[in-house]
Amino acid sequence: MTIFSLSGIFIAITCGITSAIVLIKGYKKSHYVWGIFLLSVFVWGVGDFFIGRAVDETSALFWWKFAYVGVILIPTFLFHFTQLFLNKVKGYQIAINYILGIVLLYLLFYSDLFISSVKYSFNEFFYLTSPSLVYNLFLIWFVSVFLYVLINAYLAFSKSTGIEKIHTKYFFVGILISVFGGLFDFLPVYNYNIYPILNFTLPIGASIFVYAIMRHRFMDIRFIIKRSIIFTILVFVITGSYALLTYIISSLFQDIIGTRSMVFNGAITAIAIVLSFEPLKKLLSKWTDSFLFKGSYNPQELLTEITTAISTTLDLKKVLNTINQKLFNAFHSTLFSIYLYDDDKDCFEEAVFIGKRTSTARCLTAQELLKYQLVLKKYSQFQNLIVTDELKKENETKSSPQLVTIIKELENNGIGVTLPVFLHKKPIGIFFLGPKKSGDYYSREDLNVLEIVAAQSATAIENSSLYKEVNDLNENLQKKVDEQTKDIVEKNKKLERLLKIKSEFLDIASHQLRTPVSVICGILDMFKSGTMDKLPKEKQMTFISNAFSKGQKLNAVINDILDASDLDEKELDLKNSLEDLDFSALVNNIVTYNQPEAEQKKIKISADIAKDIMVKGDKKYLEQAVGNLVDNAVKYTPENKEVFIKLSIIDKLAQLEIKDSGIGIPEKEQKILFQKFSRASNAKELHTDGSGLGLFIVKKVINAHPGAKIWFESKEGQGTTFFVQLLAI
Amino acid sequence: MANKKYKILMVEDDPDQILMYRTQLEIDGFKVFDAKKYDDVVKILVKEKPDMVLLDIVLGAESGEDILKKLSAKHVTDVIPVIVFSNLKSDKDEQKYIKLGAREYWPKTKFLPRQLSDVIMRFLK
Repeated sequence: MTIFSLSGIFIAITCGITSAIVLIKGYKKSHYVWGIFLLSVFVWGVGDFFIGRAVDETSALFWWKFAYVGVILIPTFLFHFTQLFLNKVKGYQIAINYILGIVLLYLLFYSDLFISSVKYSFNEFFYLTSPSLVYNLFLIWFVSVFLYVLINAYLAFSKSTGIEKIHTKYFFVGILISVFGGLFDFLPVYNYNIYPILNFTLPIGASIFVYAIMRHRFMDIRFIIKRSIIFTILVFVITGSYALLTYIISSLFQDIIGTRSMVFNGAITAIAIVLSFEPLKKLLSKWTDSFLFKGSYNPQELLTEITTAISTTLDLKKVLNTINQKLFNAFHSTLFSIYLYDDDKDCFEEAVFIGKRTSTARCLTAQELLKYQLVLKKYSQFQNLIVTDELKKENETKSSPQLVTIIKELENNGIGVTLPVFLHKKPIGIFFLGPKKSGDYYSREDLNVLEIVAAQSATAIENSSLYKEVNDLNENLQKKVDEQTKDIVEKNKKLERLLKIKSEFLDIASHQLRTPVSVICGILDMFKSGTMDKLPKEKQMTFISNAFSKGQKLNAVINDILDASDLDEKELDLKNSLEDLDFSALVNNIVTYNQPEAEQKKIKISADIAKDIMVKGDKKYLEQAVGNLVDNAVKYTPENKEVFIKLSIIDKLAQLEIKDSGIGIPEKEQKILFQKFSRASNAKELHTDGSGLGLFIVKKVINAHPGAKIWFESKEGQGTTFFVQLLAI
Repeated sequence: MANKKYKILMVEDDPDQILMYRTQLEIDGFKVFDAKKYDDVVKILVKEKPDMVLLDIVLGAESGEDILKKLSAKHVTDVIPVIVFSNLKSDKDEQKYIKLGAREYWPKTKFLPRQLSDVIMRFLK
């Protein structure tokens, strides 16, 4: 077989396959024109094969004419395709080209004006003879078309961006390489006898197109060779290499050791197979993998990394970040984000984001996702993901307003791939990937990887979400328990304090109540039993008066207890009993009333009471409050000391000061002084019959007056001053 | 009545009660002294050597408990029976005073004046 025939086979096979891919997978006019163009090259290749094998001039001429059907149609369809591909359709130019093609085809078959004879060349096969006028004109047209195509393709390449740039680049390079080789075919016609060995550039050009389709979806044709087919081809290549090896070895050793070489040769081949099969297979599959299926990442490794990473942690944030980072790095997309379903908000919220933001993140509702899903079912080839470019392609054929809206939305958000994550058929999240930075499309392999990652992530996300929920719940529970424990401890302390106060009160109250009762009963019994009869009348009267005074004391104690209990149950409401009171007079009366007891204790009460100070107040309660304060002052002031009482107007307020020179109130007990049953420890020692209710009643009464307040200043051992302020009128 | 006139010291600050108990006890043949403060108590103890001390707890400046402690410290309670005679009553208190040296604890409300005199008599005999 001649080299020329061999090149013909290669051209026919490569262009034939490419043509088949384009025609089968194509869906628009440009695809079909491109397919027919490749078919023309295929026809030429077939022709070349038979030219190389032709044994006489007649058959050689026939195959040359056959080959030239392809050669004439190549510029015709290439021109048409180029205008379609570059979006520069000019109908009349295309028409002229077609007419030229038809004319030339006519001349080819029905005249000798184009091709008339062949000559034996290169000692191998018959080549065309010197060119005719028509042939020269044809060549000019042919070369012009190619120059037009290359120039326009280059201009389009330099102006375009992104994926378009990549596509025009492949187009330009593919055509340039093919034409460069193909043009050499014309040289022998003009007696430049250079063997057309460069025909082999044509299969290279066709391979570039196939590669561009598979890797970059050249012309938006989606074509993916199954890995199994690639593997089969690999096995063929390997087997072929071994066959070649066997052939070389056998022909080498046949002369030296004769027929026995078969055994020898078999042994060497077997060893070679054993040693080299696995590494060779690996090398080739690695090579095809990285060229045809993926870019810079290895799907197996990526999946293993992600699976390992997400199965070793229950931290949701870590899981998401791992998925995010790994996929972002693998696909080199402009952005990658994960949205997760938020129960509280009832929508999908952005959980992680990486890359370039084109719009602000918002919560996507389930309805929106449902809308996506409906579109998905209707238009997408994939079960679980939406490829924006695919939708665009779909829209070109089956245009729908619904689709346009979604495409627009996806593009505005810079989203190339949308990948909902389902668990038990329920969507729990969405992955969004931007287009690849390289402008490449996502290959079938990429999308498969994404689908697997999504499926695996679902479980990991669910698990870590549950873990987080349980953790949060635990934390909350612990917090609540801590809070309540603290609350209980505090309440307990308060209760203990209250119980202590109450028990002290009971001790005091029982003593306060029992003492007068024991005296009254004792005296009455003395009368009853006749003891009193032995006493003079005056003494008997003293007893009666004592019993009476004890009865009064008893009454006062009971009243105190009832008042306190009353005041405790409800806030004292004096609104209806407030009247204009002469506070000066009220204070004066109380001072006078306490004078005898003070004198008895040799205590001097000095008073500085401004006259005619009027206040709004309740007379009964104010008497009780001020009375209690003055009574306390006298009670807790030692003999020969002084109690000082002052009433004055300060800033429209009537201010009463009651200063004693008594024992003072210990600092730590000052806070609780106004509490019910509370008595300063030193007061208990001094006056055991206090009920602990006096100051509680005073505070309640003063607070019930509008704008009034009570406070004190005290130092243990030096005395206490109580201040009362009331609104003056 | 008793051949011997027993001497009773009442430590009490309420004049009404002193009057009442003194009246009844004197009619019943006791000699009654009274005191409000420790100093006075000591004076009477030294001078009169009473047969019994009736000690009230709730007093003015000084509590009966303090007085009891001091008497106990001077071993007076070993020689002269001190009875705590008070209206302050709880089981807890009774134990406390007995530990402090009181011979017995008599709640005031439990005895009318004439009953008190019977109890004292029984106790001293």
